[in-house]
Amino acid sequence: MILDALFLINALLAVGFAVAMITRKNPIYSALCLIATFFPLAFIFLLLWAPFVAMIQIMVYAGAIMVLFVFVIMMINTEKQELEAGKPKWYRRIAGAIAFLFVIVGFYSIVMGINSIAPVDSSIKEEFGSTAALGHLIFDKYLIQFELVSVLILVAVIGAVFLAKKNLD
Amino acid sequence: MQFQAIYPGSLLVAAAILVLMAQSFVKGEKKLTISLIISLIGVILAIFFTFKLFGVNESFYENALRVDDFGVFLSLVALIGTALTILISAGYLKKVKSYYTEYYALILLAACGMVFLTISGDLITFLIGLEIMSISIYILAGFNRESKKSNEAAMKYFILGAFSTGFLLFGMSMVYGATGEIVISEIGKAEKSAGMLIGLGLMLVGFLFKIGAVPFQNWVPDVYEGAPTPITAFMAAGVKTAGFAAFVRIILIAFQNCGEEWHTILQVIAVLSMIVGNVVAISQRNIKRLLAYSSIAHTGYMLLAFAAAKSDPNMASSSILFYLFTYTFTVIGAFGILIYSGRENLDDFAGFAHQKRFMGIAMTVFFFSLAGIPSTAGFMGKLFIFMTAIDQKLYWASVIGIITSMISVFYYLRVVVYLYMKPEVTRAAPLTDWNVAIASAVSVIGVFVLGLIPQSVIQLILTTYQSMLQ
Amino acid sequence: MLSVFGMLMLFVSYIVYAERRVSAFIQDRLGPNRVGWQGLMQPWADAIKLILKEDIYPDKADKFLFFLAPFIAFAPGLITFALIPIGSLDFSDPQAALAISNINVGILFILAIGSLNFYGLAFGGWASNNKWSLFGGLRASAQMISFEIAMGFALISILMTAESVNMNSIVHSQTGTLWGFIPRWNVFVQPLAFLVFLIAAFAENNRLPFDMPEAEPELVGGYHTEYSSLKFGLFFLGEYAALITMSAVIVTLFFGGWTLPWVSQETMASWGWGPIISGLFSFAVFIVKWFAVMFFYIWVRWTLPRVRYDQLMNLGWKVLIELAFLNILITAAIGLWL
Repeated sequence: MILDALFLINALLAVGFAVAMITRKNPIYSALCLIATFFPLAFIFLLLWAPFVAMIQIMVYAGAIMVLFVFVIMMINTEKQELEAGKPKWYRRIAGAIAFLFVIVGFYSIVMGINSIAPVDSSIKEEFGSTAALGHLIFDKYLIQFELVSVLILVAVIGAVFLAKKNLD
Repeated sequence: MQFQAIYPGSLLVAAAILVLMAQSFVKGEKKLTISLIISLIGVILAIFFTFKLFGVNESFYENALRVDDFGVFLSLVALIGTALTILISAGYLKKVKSYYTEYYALILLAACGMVFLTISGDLITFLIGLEIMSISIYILAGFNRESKKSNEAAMKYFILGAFSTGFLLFGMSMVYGATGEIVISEIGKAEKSAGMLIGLGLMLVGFLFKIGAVPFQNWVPDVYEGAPTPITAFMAAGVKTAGFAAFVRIILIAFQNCGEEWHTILQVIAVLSMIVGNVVAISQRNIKRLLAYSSIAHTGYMLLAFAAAKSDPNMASSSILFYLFTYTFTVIGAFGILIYSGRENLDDFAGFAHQKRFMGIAMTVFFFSLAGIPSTAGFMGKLFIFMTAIDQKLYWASVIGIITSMISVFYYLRVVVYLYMKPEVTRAAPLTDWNVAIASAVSVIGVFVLGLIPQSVIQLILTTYQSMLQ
Repeated sequence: MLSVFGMLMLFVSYIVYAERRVSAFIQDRLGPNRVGWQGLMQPWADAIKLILKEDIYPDKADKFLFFLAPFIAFAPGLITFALIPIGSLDFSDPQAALAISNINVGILFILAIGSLNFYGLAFGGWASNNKWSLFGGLRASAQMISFEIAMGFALISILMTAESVNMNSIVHSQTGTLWGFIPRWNVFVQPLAFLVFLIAAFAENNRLPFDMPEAEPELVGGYHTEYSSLKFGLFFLGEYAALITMSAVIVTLFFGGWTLPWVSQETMASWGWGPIISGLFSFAVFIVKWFAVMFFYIWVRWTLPRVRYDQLMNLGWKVLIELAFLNILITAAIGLWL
């Protein structure tokens, strides 16, 4: 019961901040709301017995990626006028309506799905979601995927360096 | 012997790292030569080891990789495309005086992504392979950093591509939610459910974007035009091959119980792609743009065969495979000649065949093949596809396909008319580069071999669908 | 929990005093010695002064963020302290830690939350609508990113030797001796990791020689140029709270936490002390080490000059990260073959 309540509170918070993020006009506030979204998300991971993922969620997203976002927003320092959007066009209204529909569906599934989510499942072992269990999965079962991700990061690094470097020779 | 499955991919990565490291030791033009040699050796070794995988038909690494004849054949096609791209790139880099060998490294890494994409056994490997390939191509599309068009191409491709990957990922999570499985063959055993169908729809959006089908085709002309020409060739050949590989495998295996749904969708999209591609191409004066629209049309032909897969998946996948093989040679050859001639506009090609006789003939061959004139590879490919479609009673779609295909003959042959029958305009002398010449020669041979004696290839292809199911 | 918080606040106020006295000693001055005996009441006087000052909002500042920033800067240092085992209630039980919380992903939690105080700096700098403040905030973010990575990688090798991410297990892995005469502390087992971690910790705390975000001679006051009164006080305290917590983390990770050197776990367990005596004793041990590290922090501040910004970046990206990688490689190789 208390877990359900915690889940509901965090789910609502996460969705609320996410909505706030896309409705803010000032990008810094959007970033702030996005950061705020990560905490209830991390909490939901905790409720799902995944403390490692929860911590990584905060560490990587709030602690690193958003730092870069904020850095870039501060660097660009957009003027107020540029931020003022024009009158909503008809397709924007449609997009807004569809997004609203998604929000309603999201809330509906949260409320309906709350009974089907049972974090304290007797079949879940103590070490499920622990750092060690995750390590075994990554370096054993999903080894090839893990190695491929390193290739992916290599590509990204080469690309970033190539595109951003001033003089290549 | 788990390792044999990852030899080709690892070799490509190793070659890419070697290319990057070579930068520190050699400078200037030498750097290009050495990188070219390393990359070619890497790709040829990869082709060799891929070839040895024929007939293995096993899953490796806890189903992460599914090495079967289907995947191996398409790996091979993608790698041949890569090798030809590297050859035509050598001429291009020399022409634009670009000494950045990151270029070769990225091509090799993209090829690595393609290899893993074609033999992916579960959704994670598939997604990562796709991303390795796509991100390399995003960067390569913006390789001419000074050119606005190139930047535009990279930006458009990147933003839209990232968005489409989002759809793909969302679809994958739906499928996982509905079935609890990430292994492709296991998903296929699940019952049809609402989650599966939503997942199918979202994944189709992602796939259709990657292969450039209507209604997700808008990026194709701009990106094809702006990207460096060899990369355009690579996109048309390699990316499309690898994209189709994953597309066919996931739709035919994972969604085999949802046949009713994708059958109709794909039929409509195939028809639209053929019409849009072929009709809009008529008004194009820029050959890169023309080939971009023609690539949309060719995607349409392949999707037509795909739509027939509901009742006869074997023929459908075989004809797609064969078509991809023919298209690889044809399109890379055509772009190779564009690089060789150093021009892009139709008017500039007036009388080009008199200036460079052999290149003129090669270009004629490639455009005949694109148009589907008998005795070329393109003809066999189209024949195969329309046969499959008519066998499965897709009459209307086939009729539209044949009509649009006839329309396409007009704009392909117009290029040939300009080559031979227009008065010669004096232009900057085309560059003489042996690498491009070799690539063109190989492509011409490929086009004729597949057009005249395709039996052995078809024999091989006809068994690939069975290998997927084992 | 409240008592730990109170203790922390006390420490925070007195470390400011300690810093001023130590710096005076290093520079051969007297330092604050007027308020109370030896100036011991100085922190209270400072606090009253800060509270009574006028609270100024700059004209074009973003009011909400301007208000929020000091709190964001202040909180992480205090929160993360909850995870640090400052003693043990029972020497024979490895998990009987004297800590507010003993969770399984302790060190990750500290890293995760600890990295958040950057937002206080960045938002504070941005919201002030002032060039210097903005620069301070920008530098804070760049510095944060650069050194967080090195810090994380240095930690990985520690986790490899401890085979756990639980703070208490890390402490326990450091008992005993190396070859019989060196305490098995991570500072001796992993000297390279210690070096990298220490430098990164200085950068994370924005301490000299890496106090780029505030660098007085260049940026007036950096991100807190526009702040006054209690909000300035919060920034100020937050900085020192982070310093205190970081010192405690360093003690826990590298100097064996609350354990005694040369004394094995079994010996300590055989004394058979009750929880109160054990707790007090181990806390005393911890405090000695803790103060030593804090003193080192202050000492460095008044000894080394500030580095230039590009030097800082080069150090972070081109030296520390590579060293940390090397260290992981060495640790892995030793772990694999020895």
